[in-house]
Amino acid sequence: MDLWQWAVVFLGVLILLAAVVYGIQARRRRGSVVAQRSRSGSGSSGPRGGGAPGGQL
Amino acid sequence: MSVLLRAADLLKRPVVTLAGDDVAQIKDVIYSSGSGELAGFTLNGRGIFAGPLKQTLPWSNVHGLGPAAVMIRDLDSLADRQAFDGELEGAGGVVIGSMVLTHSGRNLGVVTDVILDVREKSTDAVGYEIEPSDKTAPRRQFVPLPDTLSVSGEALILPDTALEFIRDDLAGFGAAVDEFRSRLGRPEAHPSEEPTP
Amino acid sequence: MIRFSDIAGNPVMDTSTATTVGKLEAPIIDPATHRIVGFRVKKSKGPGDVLLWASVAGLGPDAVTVSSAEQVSDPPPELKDRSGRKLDVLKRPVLTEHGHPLGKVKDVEFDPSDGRVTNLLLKDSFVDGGRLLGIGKYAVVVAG
Repeated sequence: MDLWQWAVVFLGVLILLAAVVYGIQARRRRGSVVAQRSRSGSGSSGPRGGGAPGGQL
Repeated sequence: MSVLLRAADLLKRPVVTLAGDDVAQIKDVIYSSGSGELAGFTLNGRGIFAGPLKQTLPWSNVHGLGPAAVMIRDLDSLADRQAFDGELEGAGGVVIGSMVLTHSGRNLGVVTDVILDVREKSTDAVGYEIEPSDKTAPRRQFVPLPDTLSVSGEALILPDTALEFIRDDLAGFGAAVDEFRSRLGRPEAHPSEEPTP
Repeated sequence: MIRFSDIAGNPVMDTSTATTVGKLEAPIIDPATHRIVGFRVKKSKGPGDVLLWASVAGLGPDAVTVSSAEQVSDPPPELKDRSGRKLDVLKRPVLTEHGHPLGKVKDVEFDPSDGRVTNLLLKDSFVDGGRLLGIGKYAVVVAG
């Protein structure tokens, strides 16, 4: 193969690699809205908190 | 003064210091399932190849929350991951996509967003935007949250009184939340909605 | 008061040789003191491309005069980042400290006697120079 052919292959591999890295990072970056279980004994055992176990079958 | 906004609108918003540098962007919006209080944010780096950051941004360190950016004083405003309980993967979990059930077992729909009430000092999750399971209903509805609620990765449980306060638009929703909560706050209101097992 | 757009691109004249030693490219603003502390100069014939405010002999409508080409030199260490293209104030978006977007900086109005920035001019509004909090790589942050 000529030098320019190697260069094309090399560039192709580079682009593919960049795309893979981008894809992985994009997946890791994906965010959401998260409910965090409150700290134990943080006093949030209000009326609803108490009623919760009955509701969750 | 308080402003209602959708939590999902905050995702990807840049975190900018008062010196004008963008140091991160919002990844997750985290609120306490016990009190509904906004706990803070996990962060991503800026730039197209950046991944999640080890640092987080507790709500108390947020200087300003605007439509274009989340402002912080400087890099010291970021905290490490321990700022949140480390229970993010646990029983709380991702809210969007969860099913909303009333105490009496009626499925209202699927959560598409969480409505935050941004006040001077604190920010609370006050309601959910849901896609109703009832196909004849409007495409989007808003249901208010009680002060305290039970959440798992799977479902959210609401008292049946919440049904009366479902709204189709955000405009009247703030008042509906207040009324709903004051109704729940009344002592005589509680026993009637507590299901007897 | 004058605007930077009035003098942008004006020649920097060396009064000792009566030759042009560069052209004004951009103002360098210290957000802490709300002052123009110097200018970045393009096509500089001096040792660097920064002209400090203190080195300006005269600031006229048609030219800036300096005593020698040596005055256009490398910035002191504390101004190295500040004088770079990455922190130029012009064309940078303006945010309030509460995260509200105001628009991009179109022009800078300043007091030619001491370099104090009186106003940042945006597309159809302006921001008092005293409100400046920071000029960073993402945005200009102003109080209020």
